[in-house]
Amino acid sequence: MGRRWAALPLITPAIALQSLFFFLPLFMILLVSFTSRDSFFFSPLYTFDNYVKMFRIYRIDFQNTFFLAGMAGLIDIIIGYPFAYILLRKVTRFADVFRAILIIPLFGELYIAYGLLYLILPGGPVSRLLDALGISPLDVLYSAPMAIFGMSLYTLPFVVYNIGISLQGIDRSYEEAARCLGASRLKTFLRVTLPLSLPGIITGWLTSFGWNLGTFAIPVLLGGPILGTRVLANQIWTTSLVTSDFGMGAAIGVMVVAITMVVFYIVVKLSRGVLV
Amino acid sequence: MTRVEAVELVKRYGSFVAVDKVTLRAREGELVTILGPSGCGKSTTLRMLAGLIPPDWGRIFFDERDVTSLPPDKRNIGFVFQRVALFPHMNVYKNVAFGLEMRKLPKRVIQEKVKEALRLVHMEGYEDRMPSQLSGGQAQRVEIARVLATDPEVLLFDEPLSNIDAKLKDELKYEIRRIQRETRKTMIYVTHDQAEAFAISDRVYVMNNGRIEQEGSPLEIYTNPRTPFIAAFIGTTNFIETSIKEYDEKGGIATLEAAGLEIRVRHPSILDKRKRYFISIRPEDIKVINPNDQKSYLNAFKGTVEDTIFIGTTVRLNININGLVLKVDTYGAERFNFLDSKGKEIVIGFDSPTILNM
Amino acid sequence: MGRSIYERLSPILSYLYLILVCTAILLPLSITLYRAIVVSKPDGSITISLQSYTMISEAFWDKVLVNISISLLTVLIDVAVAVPVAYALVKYEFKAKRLIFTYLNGVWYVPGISYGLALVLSYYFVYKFLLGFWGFVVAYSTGFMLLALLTAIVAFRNLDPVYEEAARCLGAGRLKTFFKVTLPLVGPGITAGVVLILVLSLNEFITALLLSGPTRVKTAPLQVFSDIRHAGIQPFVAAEATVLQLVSLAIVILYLKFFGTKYLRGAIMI
Ligand SMILES: Nc1ncnc2c1ncn2[C@@H]1O[C@H](COP(=O)(O)OP(=O)(O)OP(=O)(O)O)[C@@H](O)[C@H]1O
Ligand SMILES: [Mg+2]
Repeated sequence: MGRRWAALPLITPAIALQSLFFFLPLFMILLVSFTSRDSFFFSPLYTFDNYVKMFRIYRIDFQNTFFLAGMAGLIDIIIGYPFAYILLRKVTRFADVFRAILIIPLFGELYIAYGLLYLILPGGPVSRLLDALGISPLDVLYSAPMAIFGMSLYTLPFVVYNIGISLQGIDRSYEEAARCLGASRLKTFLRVTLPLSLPGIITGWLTSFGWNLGTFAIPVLLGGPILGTRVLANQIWTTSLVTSDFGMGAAIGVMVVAITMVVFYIVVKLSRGVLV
Repeated sequence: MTRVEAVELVKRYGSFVAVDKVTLRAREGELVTILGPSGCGKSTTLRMLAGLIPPDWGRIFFDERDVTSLPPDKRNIGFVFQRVALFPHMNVYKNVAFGLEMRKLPKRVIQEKVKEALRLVHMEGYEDRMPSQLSGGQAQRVEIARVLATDPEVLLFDEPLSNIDAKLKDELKYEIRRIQRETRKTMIYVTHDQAEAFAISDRVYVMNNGRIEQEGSPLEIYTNPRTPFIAAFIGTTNFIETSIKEYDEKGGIATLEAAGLEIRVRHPSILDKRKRYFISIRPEDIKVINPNDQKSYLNAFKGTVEDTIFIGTTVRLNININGLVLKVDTYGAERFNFLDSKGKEIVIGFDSPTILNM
Repeated sequence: MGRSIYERLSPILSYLYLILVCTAILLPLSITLYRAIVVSKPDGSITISLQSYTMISEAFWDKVLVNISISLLTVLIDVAVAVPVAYALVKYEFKAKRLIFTYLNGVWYVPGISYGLALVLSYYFVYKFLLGFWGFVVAYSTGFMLLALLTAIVAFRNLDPVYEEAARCLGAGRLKTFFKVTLPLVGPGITAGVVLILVLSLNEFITALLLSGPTRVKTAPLQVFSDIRHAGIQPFVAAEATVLQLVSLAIVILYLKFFGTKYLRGAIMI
């Protein structure tokens, strides 16, 4: 009897913190998303307009964001799969150094954006090379590929993590059995390893996608004035805090949350290894 | 049918020698087991035979062909793993067909061969099941079918029954023996279970600490263990450390001494008078005898029953003779008479024990 | 003996690939650092100097200090709040376990940009007293608590219960056992969470951008961002950008030196 409620005092502070400062604000943003402009601050004018108008006015922003985040996820899979595979299967010496380096992107998208910005800017190290090739650095810099590259660096650790977890879950004897049954290295990989690690690939892509939906500095600094400002994160900031259309800002914000939730829901369903 | 020959295989992990100059041979159609305790290097040896790991030293031959540097997919072997390794994303049919697809056989042939292989292991009708829907025993049968379907030259089994309960294990080991007989394939079978090894093999290699300690038929190994390790590992035995008291080089009977007792041994080989020897007597080879019969046994001693243990098919007595305690097994209906014999004096007799170098 | 070309080449290619990718990961930081400390003279020669760091304004260093105080308070709150829950989730049996874990997980599924806006709205309407320094502390504590929770759960999970059972049998009470046996044993695991929170909160950008307006508090990354936009590629901006990255790097390296990667595996590392 006593034991049943003993956990309560241990849990309460955390629940309180999350309720007061996460779920309540979330409820607020939902509420505000149904009000017109900044009317919530005076006398709330409830309306569906924001959601109706959103896809008309900000269709480009949705498209751009999905495109950039989706492509970055794809690049991450292509780069991250071999990385995870090699790290787990092929090397033992210095493996921890490579693991540690993977923490660096967690320092944030701002620094990635800035570092790459300087790399390409006129006068920067690469610009001379580009000059010699007859390419204008600004064409490289303010372009979708550059933003995608930045985003993929940002989320690479998550993808390596997801793929790595699913590779670790594959019993080595499956691959050995395939080899003994006459499959070459390549065939074994294609028929056994790859299909068995598919959940990791999917969760990796989705995680990368989910994180990059909210990136701000990378598109702004690397995507240039046209592409970079027309992404969702930037739109949320400008509509709400710059032009004071809190209703619309909140609505886009809610939309991004909804999409991310769906994405991460699938991730959790696919990766059985939830902690508790 | 293929002859398998491994010559002086060595595998090191760092400074640790997992397999130390292992030489073994399996004749055409022979079932050979490698028997040894956990961690002695059995799997490592077998995996070198399969080509899953390269040996540091030594050569492997299939018939006259040197296969030492061939990868597993070029060796035409069938390997069954300690843990079931059915591909979890393929159903039973796909699993069994895998090896055949790798050999690029036409679809119709594959269908036929899968069917035949499943019939051989009595698993027809399970084609559409996923591995997760099979019991441990069924999965192991399918695994064996998968290996047999490709018609490999050599079968390599790494403790295929170690994760299966005792009853099913008993059944499956004879099944494996039957299949090996029917297909007449050369087979090397790894196990740490002596009963399993003895029940199925033509010949046994006993392995310890990365080395082969003895090779022979199950009967030879049981009755004539060559090292103290093997005597202790195979079944139960009484070890007695002795010195030589009387010994005639021309053969015949030697008398060895331990704890003031004189034990007579028929010695097959030359003994060194200055050395000490172990002798080993199995509990089932010692009999409780009528005191008048002492003359008909090479060795007979009077002792006190110190303890009785009911094991089931046997009752084990610990008998103290001058401070030397021997385990003695009694069988049949008369064993129950000994259950309350604690403290009584009895006479035991036995024939020549095995003599072992220390 | 008898090694195929594949076996000989594969280790070399493996390391080459890892190094290549790691170079790309390190590229932004190393370029920034290069820009901050390498000065090329008009005559074409190159020298290393810390001069650009002296050109960083006083205001920036103040913001670094603000940032560090926010991070430290965040760590304190998160550990104090998350360790008990983690303990309860691992050691106690109760019905709503999964539900509570999911509830506490929620924040992970909301991008910083939306979370920032939601916080701003709630600060305007409900928590007016948080419009300021404490607004950041509360935001970061809530946002990063999950990291402390996950690493603490992993730590408690990996702890063999025999030690605690032994302590109880030796006469230690529940509380004594926790502080004398459990906590010292799970310490390194919990430290992993501390490191992650420190690093992430020191560099948090997007939530800070949204909060900075109403709270009138500006953190160092925000200063870097506005300097990038206004002063472009001046060396002092690069110097600013490296400051907190190097602090973070030092924290990570120090942690890894003491505890290795063991306690981070399964939380964020393979
Ligand atoms: N990859 C490896 N690295 C280091 N040591 C290894 C490796 N593989 C095996 N060993 C060591 O080599 C020895 C032999 O291992 P092996 O797997 O052959 O034993 P085994 O006889 O099959 O035992 P079991 O009955 O437990 O399967 C063991 O001591 C093991 O620890
Ligand atoms: Mg083994």
